Amino acid sequence: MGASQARTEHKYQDLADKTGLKKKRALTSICFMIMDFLLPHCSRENLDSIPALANNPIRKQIVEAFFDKRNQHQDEVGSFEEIGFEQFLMVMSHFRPPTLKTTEEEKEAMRKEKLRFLFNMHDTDNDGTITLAEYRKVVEELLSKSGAIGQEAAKAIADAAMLEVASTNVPHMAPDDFYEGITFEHFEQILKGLEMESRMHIRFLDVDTTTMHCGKSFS
Amino acid sequence: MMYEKIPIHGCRMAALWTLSVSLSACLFWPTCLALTPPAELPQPHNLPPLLGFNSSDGSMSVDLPMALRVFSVDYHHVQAPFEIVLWIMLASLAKLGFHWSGRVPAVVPESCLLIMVGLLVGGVIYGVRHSAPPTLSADAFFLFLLPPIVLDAGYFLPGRLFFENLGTILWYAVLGTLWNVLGIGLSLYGVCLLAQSTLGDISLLHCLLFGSLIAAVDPVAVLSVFQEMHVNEQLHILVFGESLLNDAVTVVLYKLFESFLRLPSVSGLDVLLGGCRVVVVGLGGLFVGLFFGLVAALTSRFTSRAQVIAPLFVFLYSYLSYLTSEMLHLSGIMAIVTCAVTMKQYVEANVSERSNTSIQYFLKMWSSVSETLIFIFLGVSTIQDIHMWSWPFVCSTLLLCLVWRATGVLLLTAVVNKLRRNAVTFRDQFIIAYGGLRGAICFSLVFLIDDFPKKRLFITTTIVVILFTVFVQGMTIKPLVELLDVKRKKRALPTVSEEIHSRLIDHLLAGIEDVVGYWGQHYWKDKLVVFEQFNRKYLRRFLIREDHQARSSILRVYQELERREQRGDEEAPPLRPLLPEEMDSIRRILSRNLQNFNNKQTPAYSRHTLHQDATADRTRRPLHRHQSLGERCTYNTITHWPQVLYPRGRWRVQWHPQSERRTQQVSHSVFHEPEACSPGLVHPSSLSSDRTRRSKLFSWQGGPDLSRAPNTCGETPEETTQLCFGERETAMKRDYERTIIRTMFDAAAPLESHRAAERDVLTKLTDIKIQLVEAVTGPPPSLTLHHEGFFWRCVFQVEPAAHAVVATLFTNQPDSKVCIHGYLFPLPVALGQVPHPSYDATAVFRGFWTVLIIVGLVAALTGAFLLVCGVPFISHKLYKLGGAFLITAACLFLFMLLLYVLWMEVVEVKRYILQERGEACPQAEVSVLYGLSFMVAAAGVPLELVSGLVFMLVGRTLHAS
Repeated sequence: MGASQARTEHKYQDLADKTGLKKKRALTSICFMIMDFLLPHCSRENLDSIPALANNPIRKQIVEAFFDKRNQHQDEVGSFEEIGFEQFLMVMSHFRPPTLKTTEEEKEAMRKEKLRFLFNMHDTDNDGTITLAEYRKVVEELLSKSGAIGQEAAKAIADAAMLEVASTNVPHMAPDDFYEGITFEHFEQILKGLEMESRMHIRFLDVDTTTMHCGKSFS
Repeated sequence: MMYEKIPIHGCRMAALWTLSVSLSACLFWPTCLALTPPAELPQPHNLPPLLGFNSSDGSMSVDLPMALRVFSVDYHHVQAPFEIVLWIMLASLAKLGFHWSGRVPAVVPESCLLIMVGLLVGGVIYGVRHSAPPTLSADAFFLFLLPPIVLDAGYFLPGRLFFENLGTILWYAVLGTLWNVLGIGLSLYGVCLLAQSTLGDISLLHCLLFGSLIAAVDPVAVLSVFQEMHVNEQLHILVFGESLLNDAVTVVLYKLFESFLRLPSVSGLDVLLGGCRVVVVGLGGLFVGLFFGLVAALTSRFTSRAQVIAPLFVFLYSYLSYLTSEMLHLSGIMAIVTCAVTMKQYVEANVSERSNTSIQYFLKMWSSVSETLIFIFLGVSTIQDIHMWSWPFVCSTLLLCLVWRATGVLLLTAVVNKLRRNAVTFRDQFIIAYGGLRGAICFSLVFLIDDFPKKRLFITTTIVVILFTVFVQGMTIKPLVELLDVKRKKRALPTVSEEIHSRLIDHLLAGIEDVVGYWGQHYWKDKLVVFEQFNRKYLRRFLIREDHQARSSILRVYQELERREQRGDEEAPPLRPLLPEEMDSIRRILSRNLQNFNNKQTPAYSRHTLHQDATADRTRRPLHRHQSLGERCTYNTITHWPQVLYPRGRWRVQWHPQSERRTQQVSHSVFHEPEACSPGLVHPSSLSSDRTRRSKLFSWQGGPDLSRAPNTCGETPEETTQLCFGERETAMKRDYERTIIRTMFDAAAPLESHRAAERDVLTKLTDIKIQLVEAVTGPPPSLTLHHEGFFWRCVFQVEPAAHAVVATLFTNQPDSKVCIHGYLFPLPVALGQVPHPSYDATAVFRGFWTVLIIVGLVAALTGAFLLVCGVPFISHKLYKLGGAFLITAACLFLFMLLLYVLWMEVVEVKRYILQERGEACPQAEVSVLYGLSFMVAAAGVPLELVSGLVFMLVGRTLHAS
């Protein structure tokens, strides 16, 4: 009994470490344990039905990201049918903000991680490249809510973006060359200008509130 | 009679303005009453005719007014507009001269130079007329000069950034200003109490009044300094937004204190009412602006039949909003900014593209003209009789301004950082505090103060503070930004992918927050959809013309491309850099149509240029592939081999028709552009046109079929200062008879395959019979020495030897030396464009050196001359003076040496060079050595010092005896 309890505790402490919530580790891990116990596992439909998401043009991608095994910090591929709190937390850990104390290497790692998350959102078939079709799809989704702008423009933008990626990364393509798709390296290259580590994060007031709000969303 | 002739001549001379400032200053002296007429006006006379054909007649004309005159001059008739136009002409020409003056803009902010021109003009006017030159009246400033600037700032406000940071900006603008006003006012009162004897008659309210006007950070000054600095956008918007909004606060506070001063006594109720008034003034301005903005949008809906006057409405309505709110004693600045922000999106959708362009140009033109005028007048008005000096008051004001601003920024940021998403770093805080430049607003407000005995002191102090902030802070802020390594703005426009992904991230974050159920920042951003929907459903439908189907240029370009492809047009290149207009329209589509704030994400706010300007020349280019001059001249030699000699290549390799063997002459070495460091050869397999190239053919890393070769750069161990030397297009050595073929050898192959490749190339190019002279990957020219002299900067390449550097310095310098003038040349080595945007700290240093060395040399020579004159021991004064000059020269040289060392060690020349070179040449090593002349100078300084002292002593003993 005692041993198993210790194991569980260890598991949640690990979780707390892995998600980068090192402050208040003990408290967090207890919180996590409670949440894990309380929260039901949820499926795609649950997330899809969140009313607040209804207006989001990239709802599908967001929901899909939660069920993607690639975002779980493990080298697994595929997708879950339903996710529990642990998986949820793992996805959320991509949105950690950098603090003033974060070192450059950590920042770099963080940046890579965030970029990988974005890349995975594009790369639906997990072949390591974003093809033109995949890119177009995302841009279309992104523009889908805006009515006035047609499919045509979305296509044009995606093409232009693709062209740009191709021309920056493979600058000397011969006329009859064909650019297959954006690899992660190219993706990294093309988004060099965006300050991912400071942009792509959600600020939670405190760890506890985070977990509390998690509960609300699932109920 | 001379009196009236001058303007006529002056008019002709105006074109010569840039030649001499004093010339134009002379021409303005009788006419300097543009905005406030001086007391004595020149009496209207009729000029004697200047034209030859009726000169006999003309001399009579003055005496015989009744006769019919063929030629007459009535200056008085056109005086006011004429003089205004002349002033504007002076201002514009000053600006023109400034921008033509090459490297000066890199060192000195425009505002400083304009003030200096103003000072000069004012000085000349004063010297000639012995009366005060015209001052800028507060009415002219607030009614005519300020609105265009604020309108321009509002219209080009980067909305997204601004609204994201609105909380912080308001926090700084309102609380920070209050803090500054109260702090400066109260502590100045303390100073006045301390210096009871001289400053005793300044009351607390006067101090507060003065505090309120001196705390006003001036948007004009701030913009003109910050636009040249390219700091990161967040910092820029914080400083700029604060300066824009705090004007409203300071003006209101100023009026408040002024009305308090007029009241016999101030009660608590009055203070409370005053507080309410501040709020009313701000919000009132907001509503007035909103109202006029919507009306303007509505009006622009109906302009389709008369497109010519469409731009006019933008200006009319915004000016009207400003005037209306001024009339109602509301904040005109708030009104005009709100009006511009409100109307912009609707107007842009309604009017035609041409009208949009003209709106933008007119805005920029007016704002820059009035800014220039303001600065010039600031300089002109400084020179006058009414100054009154008090050391304690002036110095303490200056100090208090700095101290209170710094503490205010620190405190407020500490609070705001708790709530912000991106914390404001300490460096940013420093720049915010340091960037609090004062300007024309303080200046015009101080003249508005009701007369009281110490008003002249206030005026003097204000001028000192303005000049100090604009000159000292404005000039040093750029090097400070360098030294502090403040995060810079991205220089390039965001790419399409970046645009897409920044939107994607916004939505992603909003979605995730929705999932988590947390209402965060992004939540609200997304929830603004409500406004957005309202906007789309009602406002846009109501305000924007329906039949207006603007086809965006991206669609046009895209369709054109498709058409071309269908025609099978071979000219259409598969890879073509995106045209700026495409980028623009993509950006517009993305920003308009994504659910977010409906604002255009302008890449950055630039003061005087529309951002299309930089790329304007490219927009006109056809869609064909980009060819530069060098490419064109050799293009026909390589047309039969297009796939390999790709026009975007970077290598200029020398081919020579005669010699068979490779020569190792350094002077014939490969000149290549800075993009890469090692020449390579194309692998034979890539020459053949097999279909394997369907995979990614060329890449810098080398494709799968291309073997990699070591980088030549940094290959040999003995090289010390190898830099990859990039020669610019305009470089010397053009006179060689050679054919330069720019080709792209992207992947270098080992030597054996090189031979093969060479042979391959040669056999393929038999019809031209050219041979490879220079070993493209042979032993490299190895050592590149950059001599960074004061007068010359030279580059030469030497054989690597143990004492190469010393030998070069002492003995014969190699023939390969390439020298260019280096007096004020800002960069350490001649890389890239000349006033390099990311490295202008050096320019400042260089400027200092120039001044120091010239003054030092002059001092030393003068000292020597005096000493020579005094050799027969005739006068002790000459000896003393000469000694003093020598000591001064020594000090100047010492200071210069210190600066030099500072530049070398602190400013990180190495880092700069490596950064510049690093991408292309990862193994480059830089070693910085102090040269011979440096040693001589370092040795000379104590010598000079000692000799100066000795001569002083000689003089003293002479005097004693």
